[in-house]
Amino acid sequence: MPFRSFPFRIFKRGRIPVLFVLVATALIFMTLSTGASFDRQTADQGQQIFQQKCASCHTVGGGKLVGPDLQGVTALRDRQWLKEFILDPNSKFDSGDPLATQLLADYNSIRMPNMGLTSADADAILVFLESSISAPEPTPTVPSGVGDAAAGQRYFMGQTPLANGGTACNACHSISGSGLLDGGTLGPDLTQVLARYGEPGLIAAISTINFPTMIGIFATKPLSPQEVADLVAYFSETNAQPAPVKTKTGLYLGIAGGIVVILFAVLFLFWPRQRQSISEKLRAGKL
Amino acid sequence: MNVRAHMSMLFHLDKCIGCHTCSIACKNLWTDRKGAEYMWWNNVETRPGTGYPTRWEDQRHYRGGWELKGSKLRLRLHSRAGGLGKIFYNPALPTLDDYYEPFTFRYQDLFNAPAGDDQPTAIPISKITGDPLDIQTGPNWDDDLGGSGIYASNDPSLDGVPEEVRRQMNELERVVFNYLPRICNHCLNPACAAACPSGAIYKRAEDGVVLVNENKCRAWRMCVAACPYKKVYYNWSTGKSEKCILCFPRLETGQAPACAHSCVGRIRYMGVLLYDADRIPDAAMVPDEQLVEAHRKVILDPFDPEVIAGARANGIEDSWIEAAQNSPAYKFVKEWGIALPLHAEYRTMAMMYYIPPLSPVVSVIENELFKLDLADERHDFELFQRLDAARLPVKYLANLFSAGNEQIIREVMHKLLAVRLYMRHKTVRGSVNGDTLGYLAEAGLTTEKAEAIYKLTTLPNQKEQFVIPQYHRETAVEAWKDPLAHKGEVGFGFIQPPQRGE
Repeated sequence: MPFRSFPFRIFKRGRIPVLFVLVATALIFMTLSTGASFDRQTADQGQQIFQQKCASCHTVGGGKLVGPDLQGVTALRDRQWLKEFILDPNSKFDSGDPLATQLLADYNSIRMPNMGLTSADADAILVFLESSISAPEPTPTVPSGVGDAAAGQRYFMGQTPLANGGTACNACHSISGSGLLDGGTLGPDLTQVLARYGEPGLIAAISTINFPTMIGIFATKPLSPQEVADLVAYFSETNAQPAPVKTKTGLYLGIAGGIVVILFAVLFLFWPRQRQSISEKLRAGKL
Repeated sequence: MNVRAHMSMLFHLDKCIGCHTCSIACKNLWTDRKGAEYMWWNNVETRPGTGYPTRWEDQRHYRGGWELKGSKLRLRLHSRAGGLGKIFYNPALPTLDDYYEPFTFRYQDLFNAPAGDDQPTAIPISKITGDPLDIQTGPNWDDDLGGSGIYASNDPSLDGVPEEVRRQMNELERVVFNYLPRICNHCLNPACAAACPSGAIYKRAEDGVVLVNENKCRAWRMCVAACPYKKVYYNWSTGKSEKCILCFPRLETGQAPACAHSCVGRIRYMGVLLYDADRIPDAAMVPDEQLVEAHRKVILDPFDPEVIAGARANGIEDSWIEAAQNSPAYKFVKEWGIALPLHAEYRTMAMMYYIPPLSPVVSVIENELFKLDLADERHDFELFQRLDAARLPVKYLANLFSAGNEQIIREVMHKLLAVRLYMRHKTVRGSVNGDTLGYLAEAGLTTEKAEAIYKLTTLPNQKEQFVIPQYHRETAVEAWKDPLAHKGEVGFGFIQPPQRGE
């Protein structure tokens, strides 16, 4: 019996490897056949990501905005360095990388924010930059010089709400001389923001707000072109003011802290008496 | 005349043995709930003592009751504007520490403890948090574990008692105490109702029970502070105030309140009093020493035809008038004049009454032997003539029961002693001598009255002790519903447990 079943068993065992080889071969062929359009697809993805995340500050062949024109950058720089810079620009700036330091000096000391891209995203962007396609330019939708600085100030201060429901600028940013506390302290001071970004860069930055902290608020509540124009007009007005040497925030915080200390001191005097019930006083012999 | 009826309870303090059965009956029936752990709607205090909550009579601290300012009666707690100012923070409120942190013991430890060298113990834990607790005080600490040096000597009612007498009261051979059971006094001029910003407290018309409408209560707790007897409690779980309801569901079905019903010493009596609502403002605004007399005048004679006509005109049922005529409360308070309201000086016109306790004669030491401070002969009469030799100072009793008026206490004590002398001579010696009759007359009693007092004090049956008229709820229901429909539906209503903010 075992003698007769032997070839049968071999055949039965062999079935699975045969099936596996067939399927694997088919898969490899499918992959190879799609491989031709693989780069093409990645470049498209890269273009999309570029437009979402990078286009507010960079162009490809359109001249410099806030950041440099990236046409031909992949030929100019080492690919590995570019990828590291895209993924974590801050560590490049902090580590004193000579190239990064030079760039910072050339571009008004505006650091490129960490855009939160994945490694795959960065690869896609690099593939896109390597390809010869140039990104359609996000032309500034706002012609310069049509904004109303007074209206811009009202938007900044929140006196006129933004049309799409975005948060007023001074919740987080300050401009010296605007209101009691000059504004918030979460974001940077914007008094001389125009000088730092340049007008096209500033318009691009406010139109497609891409800063990691702000994107959560403004992604669904973008500013209208007129609002952008008004704000830029306001910023160009404040640009003439001297940059604030120091904000009054410290003073106000000091006053508030002093009041808190005084209240605690008063509390300290009255708290023990307030806490002791008549029954406790009785037992302590204080009645 | 505006005749109204009131259900009043009467406490014969000479009969109280301090067993706390009343408190337990009340606890099991009404306050055995979350948030009510610390409440004792009925409590029994050892006197002299600080009571529950601690030193509740200290109105300079707790600011309860009314005070007479010029010709106006004002809440001691606050004026209307002042009440608004203090509505979120009221320093006169007693804290949980002033009552006590309710505790129980972890009895499971006795069964679950691992084997060891020591006996397992059931450690005390807080009934609120469940955490182990170092018990500092209880609702009657003096009674539970002693500590008279702290508790008895700090009794606010000892104010005005001479320092020498107070010192004597702490001496072993002169020490004295009595028990004081307390429930809500269901006052005629309730300070709790006056202080409530929500208008949630009311005195119901048919029997004068003061109730909290929990649908209206908004947890301002002004009632807790304003009640001079501290008999309104705040339930921290439901966010509502609660108080003694005089067991009205029992009264409506002809039963005495649980505390009175369960009383071992049968010290409690229940009966109807008719009173003149128009006289309340005047009676609450006389000087302190006249308060008790004015209070007595508010209570009407139920045999007077004019009063009966007035009662009928106000819709009081004949059965209630009849109950008022048989009421033990009327007899003790008005006819015999030996029952007094607690702390009349709070001017809330408390409608629960107390017959003050007698006490033994002070001892003296002669030749290193204790000896009663009496002359050798005529022991019986000595105390009658020298009430100051009684261990409970008259001034102390006057502070408790007659707004400081010692004369009223002396009259009451004379009556009580005269009845005692008369009955002792009659039952022990078989005859009553002229001296005894003379004392009886001096106290303002006749032999018939003395025997009636004796009978109702010592030998009452339950029907004489609790004279509870028919409540006729069916006629009350007629006012708002078809009585037959109500009868069919009663018991099937929606249950609305009290909720914070509702």
